[in-house]
Amino acid sequence: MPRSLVSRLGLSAAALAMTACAQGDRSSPPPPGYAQRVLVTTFIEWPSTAEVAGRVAQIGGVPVRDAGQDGPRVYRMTLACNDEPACRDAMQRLSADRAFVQAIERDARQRLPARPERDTSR
Amino acid sequence: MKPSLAQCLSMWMALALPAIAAAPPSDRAPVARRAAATAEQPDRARVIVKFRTDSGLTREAALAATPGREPRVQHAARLTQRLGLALTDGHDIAPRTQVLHARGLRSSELVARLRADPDVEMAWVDERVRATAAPNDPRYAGGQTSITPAAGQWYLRAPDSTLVSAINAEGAWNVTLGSPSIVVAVIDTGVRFDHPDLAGKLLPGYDFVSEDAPGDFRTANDGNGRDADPSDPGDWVTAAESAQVGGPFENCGESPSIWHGTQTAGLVGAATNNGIGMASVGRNVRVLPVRALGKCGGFLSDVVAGMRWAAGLSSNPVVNPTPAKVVNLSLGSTGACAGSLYESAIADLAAAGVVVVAAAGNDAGLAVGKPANCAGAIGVGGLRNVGTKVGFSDVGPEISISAPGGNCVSASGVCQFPLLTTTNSGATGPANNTYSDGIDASLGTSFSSPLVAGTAALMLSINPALTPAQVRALVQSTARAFPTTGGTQGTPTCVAPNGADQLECYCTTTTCGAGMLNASAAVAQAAATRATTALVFATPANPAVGATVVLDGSTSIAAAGRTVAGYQWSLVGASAIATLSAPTNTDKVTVVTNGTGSFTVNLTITDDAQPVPNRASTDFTLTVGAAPAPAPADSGGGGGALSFVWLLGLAVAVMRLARRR
Repeated sequence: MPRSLVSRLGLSAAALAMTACAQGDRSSPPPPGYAQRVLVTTFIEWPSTAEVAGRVAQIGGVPVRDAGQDGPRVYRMTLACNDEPACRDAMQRLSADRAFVQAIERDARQRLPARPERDTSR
Repeated sequence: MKPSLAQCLSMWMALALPAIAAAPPSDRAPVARRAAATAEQPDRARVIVKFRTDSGLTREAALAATPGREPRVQHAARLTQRLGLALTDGHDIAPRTQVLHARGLRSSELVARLRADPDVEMAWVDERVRATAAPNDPRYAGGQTSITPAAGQWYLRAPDSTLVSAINAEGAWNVTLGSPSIVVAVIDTGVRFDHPDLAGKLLPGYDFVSEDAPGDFRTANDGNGRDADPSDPGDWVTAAESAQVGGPFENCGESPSIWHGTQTAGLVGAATNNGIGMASVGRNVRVLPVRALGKCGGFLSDVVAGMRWAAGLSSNPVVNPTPAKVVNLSLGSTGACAGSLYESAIADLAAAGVVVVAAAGNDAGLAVGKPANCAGAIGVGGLRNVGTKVGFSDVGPEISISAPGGNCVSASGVCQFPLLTTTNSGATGPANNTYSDGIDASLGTSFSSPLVAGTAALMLSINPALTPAQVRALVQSTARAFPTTGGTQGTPTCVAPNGADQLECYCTTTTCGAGMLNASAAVAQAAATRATTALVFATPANPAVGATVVLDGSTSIAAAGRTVAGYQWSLVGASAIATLSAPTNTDKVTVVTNGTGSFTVNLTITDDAQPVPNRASTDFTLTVGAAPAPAPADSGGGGGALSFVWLLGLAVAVMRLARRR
């Protein structure tokens, strides 16, 4: 095998590995069957969002992706579960950890108030 | 090359004339304005008289004066003898100037008699001056014939036997027309910046609608996640989208775009007394559009991030240069507030002095959802024109106050009492900027809430020191009692929510809040408790390097019964990027910027209290950014008429410049 080809393959493999690392938890699990957006309030401010996401994944036992911070000690992220009950269980595990999680809440869809029907507008 | 005045005028004409011409005839103000009331009473005179410096009366007053005090006038007794009239003293106005009253003749007759007196320098009729509170916006008045509803903007006028729940914004405008230094954030679906009745009233704002998942912008509907453009691209949902199992809009229901944020923004702060369209409650206050909802609503995380940013509590992702004092939330979800992120966010906003107003919801008498049920929010219920609860409004003890929500009276045909406001005619993407009316009616507690938010902004305009708790207490304590008659025959009394629909009912204080919003009384009470306060706002609010910024302190407040008598501006510390222009003792000052970064300017005002004026001071920090990047080609969902006109104007100007060369 020519040395240049070996070199190219090596570089490609390294690039793939780096991409996988960069994506973190996102690349490791199989494609999730259910995604639950959540808002996690921690007891303390953490130096990085990735660190919080890592701990949430560890405690919840499910992969975590799309993490960001939306306020002091408030982090939004998506739990990538196999199904809805798995996400519910993960949230229960997280809310039970009173050392790390102060509150966990579904990042629920907020709606405009329903448009009134004519018969309720009289 | 700097454009000439002629070029600027050409540009203005190219921009403004088509926009003005495009406005429908009914949006232009009638030429004639209401005449001032000048009629005199035949047997009662009230005049202002100024005496000569060298008159005997003035000399006598000076001799009788307390040392160090201005001599009082009060010469009615002596003039009574001289003129043979029964005169009585009114109040002193200025040195050698007082009001005089008399019976048995007209004011103009007394003026003539006084002017002939050798001791009198001048005399005038003390005319009754009426505040020109009623705006000239053509859709405001009742008795409309070319548009619907015929009642116009009934909800802003003084209440009467038909418009029982009208909030009397006119009375409030007699106290204040609103201050541009007070900002109301509208956390909503974004706005149509090109609506002519919102021109000059909208701050740049921000779009907090994030991606559904990486690369998935279906909720945002503008092709991107959070960014600096809170334009509303439309929020329509198709039948197929609503039917897609597992899709982001599953069971959202098929619906056209409703331009909800443009509607709420118009009620709070549409340009008023500008001769077109509608009036707003807040009149001169400014609106900060914060887009947190897209198709089928949006996520809690985006709403809360938008609330915190709007209040100036977060600089993520950018600094908000114009933090809001009032936040309107015509949105929400079901469930208790306790333990939710809304609870902590509203507490944080309250601690920062920001008033949160939220719509009760439109589930026809069910329990109030969050955030309107949060303890720190002013939850707003909806009323019919006759003051009963409108069918769709939710009820419960969490509601603080109720305000008109729009109602139609009849089951079909033109809706008689909707809340007319700014909107757009596009069923999907934006089309023409229009107004809602009796056909395309604005109905819902979504529109009751901005009436309260606008009132709160007026209260803060006249008394910026009010805390959120004080604002709510004043709104509640000045509310008018709910009526117990006048509803449709057979209307029951509202009861606590029990899971069943509850349509029109007579409100109680445990179901619809403290009463019917009374903007006039709330603002008057806010004014009565005010202290001298320095206020500053900047134009532009977020300048780029090289910009000349006008800092305006003219909206500063004097204590009740006083006027602002003096201004003094200064730079706080040394600044390498800003220079104050002279003079620095006027209500406005100009700052020239020559670098990026922040600088702080202090304004100290004094009022006319004697012998010791009240003083108030404020520090105003402004951040100067880099020169602006070129505007994005796509502002999020189709340009409106003004965008086209702007491009046309630009093309005309460029062609003229090129010809000159």
